[in-house]
Amino acid sequence: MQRPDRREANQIRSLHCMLGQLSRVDGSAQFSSGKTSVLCGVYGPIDVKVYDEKLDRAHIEVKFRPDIGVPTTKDKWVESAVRSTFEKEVLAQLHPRTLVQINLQVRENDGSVDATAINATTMALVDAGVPMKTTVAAAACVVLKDGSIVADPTKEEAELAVSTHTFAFANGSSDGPLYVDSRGRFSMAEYNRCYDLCRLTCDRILAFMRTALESKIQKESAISAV
Amino acid sequence: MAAAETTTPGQLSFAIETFERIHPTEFQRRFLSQGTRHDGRGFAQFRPTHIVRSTISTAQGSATVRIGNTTVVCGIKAEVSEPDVSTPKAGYLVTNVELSPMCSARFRPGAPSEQAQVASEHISRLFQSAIDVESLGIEEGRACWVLYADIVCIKHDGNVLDAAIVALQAALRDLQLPKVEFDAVSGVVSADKSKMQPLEVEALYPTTLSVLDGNYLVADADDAEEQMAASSVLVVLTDSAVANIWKRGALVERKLVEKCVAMAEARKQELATLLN
Amino acid sequence: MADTKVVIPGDVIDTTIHMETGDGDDSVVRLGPGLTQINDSVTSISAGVLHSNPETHQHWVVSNKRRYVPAEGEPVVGVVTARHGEGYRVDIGSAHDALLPLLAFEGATKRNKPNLAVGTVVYGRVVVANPVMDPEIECYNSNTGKAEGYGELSSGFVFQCSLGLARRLMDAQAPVLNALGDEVPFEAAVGLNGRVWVHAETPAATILVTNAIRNSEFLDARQTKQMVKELLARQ
Repeated sequence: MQRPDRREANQIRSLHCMLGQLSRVDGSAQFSSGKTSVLCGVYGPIDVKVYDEKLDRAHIEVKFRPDIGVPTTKDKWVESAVRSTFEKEVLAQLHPRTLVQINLQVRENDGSVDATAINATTMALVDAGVPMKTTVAAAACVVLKDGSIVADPTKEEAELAVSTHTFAFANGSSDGPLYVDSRGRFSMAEYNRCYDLCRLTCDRILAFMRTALESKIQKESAISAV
Repeated sequence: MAAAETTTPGQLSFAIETFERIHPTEFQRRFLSQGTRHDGRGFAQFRPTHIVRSTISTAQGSATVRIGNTTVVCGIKAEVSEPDVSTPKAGYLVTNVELSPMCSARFRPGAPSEQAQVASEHISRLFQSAIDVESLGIEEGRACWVLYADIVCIKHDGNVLDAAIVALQAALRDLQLPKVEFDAVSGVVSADKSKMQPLEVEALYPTTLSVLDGNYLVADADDAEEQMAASSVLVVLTDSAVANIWKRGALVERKLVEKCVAMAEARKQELATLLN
Repeated sequence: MADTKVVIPGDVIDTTIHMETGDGDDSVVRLGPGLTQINDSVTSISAGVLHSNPETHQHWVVSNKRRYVPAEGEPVVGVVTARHGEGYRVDIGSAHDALLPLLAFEGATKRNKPNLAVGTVVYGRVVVANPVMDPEIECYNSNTGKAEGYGELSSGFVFQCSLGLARRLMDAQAPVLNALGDEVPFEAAVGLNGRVWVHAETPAATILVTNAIRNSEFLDARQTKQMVKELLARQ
């Protein structure tokens, strides 16, 4: 069965990333997967409210705003997903009694927003120089009514899906998942196929992130090699 | 509480409660490294679970669930309203999870905390496909049933999510809706209380597992264990499929999720007996 | 001598020491900024250029940031935000404001000490910087007792730049400062906290110097000279 945009089952949309576009924040990134685009701005480490102050680590706060309308519990859920993914990966112990604030704004939503938000957050945190144990890449896939599994679903494909799966993986030697959100009605066999597909997709996304960061860093270091 | 006593130079000994307070991680580790947990349970053992239905007489459906010391009450009020424009034939379920200072000192009074909002959203999504929303429709585009489910945690000792999901399950099964007639002329919906019907609810069996100290996979973590959990996995099973796998926190091995699903299958049998 | 390669967080770095004959006993690997040991391997924790010195077994990652994390000994440009009994609170752009003791100036005594108003710009040196305490600065060299350029900075203009640019400006051979210095008389104080103070004869000259420094972020030496020439021509 052909996908509406004629992509292959395991083909992802074109990735695009712009780093450091915002001048007031400490780090920023706009990450796009096809039409889905999320902008992330990061401050940190900065001063923290006494209420949130942690004596042994930085407090990590996430604010997620949808493309249309006021934030609802749906968006709080994405905030929690992003925070729990990065809370253990940011080396917060290096900056106790401070705040790392992650601000996300959806520019356009055409499916796979959760995964794109995680990718945008990774790039913004790296752009800000916040110390991290690893680089995180996330990808989504869905199982359709005919049992086929497609990667990087559009909004339309996700709405027709029998189950949706979002995975996040880390750069480095471990092969396990960092984040898993599988929903709908599925079997463990389907789950494993989705896992494998998303693992492959995340490897591709990590390679893309590496290229994007390399080009930014090489531009900067070419100047200092004077 | 016994103060520290110096026994040999450089060595201190504490009463157990003091040690738990000062060094919670080390305290838990002492038990975990011996293959047990601080309350004597095995790694895969759940706390005693009790489900009581119809605990709120003023609600159309209700249930109280206890998992160990964690107590959650769910009450469902059914009201008639206009259906959503995008789904004119269907009714809807509105879930709200309340985590107030009453259940734990960790929560402050005021607006719902992030934990409460995330729980509300997660449960809402889970149950969207568990009930047939079209059976809640009364008259296309004009009237439908709206079920307001309030899930209130009375005592928080860890694993509120499992308890909340089971409570909503049980309350929905307890729910009885009267047969209704819609008068097209007056727009009035009249109920015949002599004919009450239950709702068709697909069974959802939740299991929460936590990874403690990077190594130990335990089921049904209580509050003390939850605080030091490196990551947690929620598995929700239906009678024939998997409905949800939600893993948050630090990196885990791939096969951990499979282990979790296996433990969830075992728990499913326990819950199925309790719910029926 | 130095090996360079771009790394991103999570990359495992090979720090094995290749023992050559007569290498001696020094088998300690030293990790600089941007690297840490996780379990048994060395991992990069920021994105940047990895530098390795095979002789001293030192490895570090150079990366550019905007947010300043105080480090001992670094010169910083700050703005006084409050005055307390024992010192001033100075905003140096870090997570917490720095403390500047009232007597941390050249020749200051209890009877004779500077009285700085809120909003004063100061050039100081970081003396205390660690994760658990608020940073502290001093406006003189406490070892010699001399100001050595530190102290109050009056008139002039302060602007922000990236930490990488600030580091390059500290070099006496910095192309943009030399190119400007040939044509426009001005004073500048560079803080490693990404703040630069500039003072020239006229507001127009101050703005010219500020813009030139800002523009030089991504230009090499030749392009910088060209850019400065163009700015001066437009005057």
